[in-house]
Amino acid sequence: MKKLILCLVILLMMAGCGKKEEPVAVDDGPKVTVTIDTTEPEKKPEEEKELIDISFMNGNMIYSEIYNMTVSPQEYNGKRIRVKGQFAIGEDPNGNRIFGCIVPDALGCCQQGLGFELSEARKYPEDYPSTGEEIIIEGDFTYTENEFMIMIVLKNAKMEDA
Amino acid sequence: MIRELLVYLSYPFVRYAFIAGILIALCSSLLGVILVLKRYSYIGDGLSHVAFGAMSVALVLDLVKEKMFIILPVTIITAVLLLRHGQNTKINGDARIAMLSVGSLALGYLFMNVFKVSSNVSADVCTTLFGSTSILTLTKGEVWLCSILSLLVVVLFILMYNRIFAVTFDETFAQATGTRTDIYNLVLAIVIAVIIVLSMNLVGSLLISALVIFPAVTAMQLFKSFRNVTIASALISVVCACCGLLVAVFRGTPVGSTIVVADLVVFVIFYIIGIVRSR
Repeated sequence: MKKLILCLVILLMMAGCGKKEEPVAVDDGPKVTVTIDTTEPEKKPEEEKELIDISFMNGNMIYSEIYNMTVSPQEYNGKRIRVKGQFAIGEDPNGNRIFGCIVPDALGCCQQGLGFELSEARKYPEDYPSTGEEIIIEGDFTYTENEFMIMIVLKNAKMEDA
Repeated sequence: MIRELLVYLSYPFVRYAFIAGILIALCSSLLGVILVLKRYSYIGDGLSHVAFGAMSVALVLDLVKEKMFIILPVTIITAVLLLRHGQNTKINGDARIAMLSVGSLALGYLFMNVFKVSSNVSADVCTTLFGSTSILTLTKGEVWLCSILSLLVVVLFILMYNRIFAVTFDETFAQATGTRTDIYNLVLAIVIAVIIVLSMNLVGSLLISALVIFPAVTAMQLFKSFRNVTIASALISVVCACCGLLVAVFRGTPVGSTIVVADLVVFVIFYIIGIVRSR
């Protein structure tokens, strides 16, 4: 019987975790009339985007979060990402040069990477760091999916030295 | 440090890691006491390699998100077969476990190499075997599955505590007194398989034995009764998992091996205290 009660307590505790908070009635106090401006404010798309800043984390954590981005990219759509990694250069299937940010994990056997497109015009190679140099990239999350992989590209990006 | 931890905890993948890590550590420690006492310590190793083989098949079939639905049944069936066939076979218990372990590991690695599903085979193998980042890459669905299965394991353990105690210490006597030992062994096999599959996410398949054995053996250095050993084992396992996860999050070390090292350190401390106390 004791065990049954203990199990029920555990189940109730679990159920309690998901319980919605009920609104509590409070004394309203003096009434204040508030005029709400219903006209839409001027849209500033860049400011509205939620920023996911993982640039302060260690390589293992950044690696894991980029992995999560490749597994569930739809959850990051419309968000702005700030990430730290190593500068890399590659080519897309059409032979165009693409710039990327590579993040190895703690063991060094695994790597995750994402591409980026800078918002400002820069000349290559003068205005770019050398391959492997640590950089911080902040840009809008976009992704393309093909038969083999999901490719993440941060658009409208800014690049800083780490 | 607490402020920094709160910042980390604002990221869902870190929260998922702590929830799953604590639950898995709790369940594996409960199981560990039984397995160590029944002298089945190494079954965890064998089953984890079977789970690795099943995971390879899931990856080859491009069922990354649904991999649990392949790994779990395969591991459960293997665990049931391993425990049910007992001694009445040409190949005895430990040889059977060893063959399964090595065979599954080899097949899994071969599958991943022959049917390359990703460009980074070494990364996939490395993560699965050593659990360098697996716990940090859980989806919300996997965390829910992990929570439900963990809760089931704990509830089963509490409800069947007396029977498990009887079957663990003297199976023949338990059978003679009318206990359906075959049913309890079957339930035990299923629970073992579930915990092994869950633990793979935390420490990787090569380090699962550590998660199962260390807390139980550590608790046995200071405590003698089954109940005290079980409670102490659960506490040690959860504390070590939390410490390991914290170090991994802050210092960037591989999660699995950091947790196992935390278990090892606590074992050495308890071992020394045990020696000092016995003098």
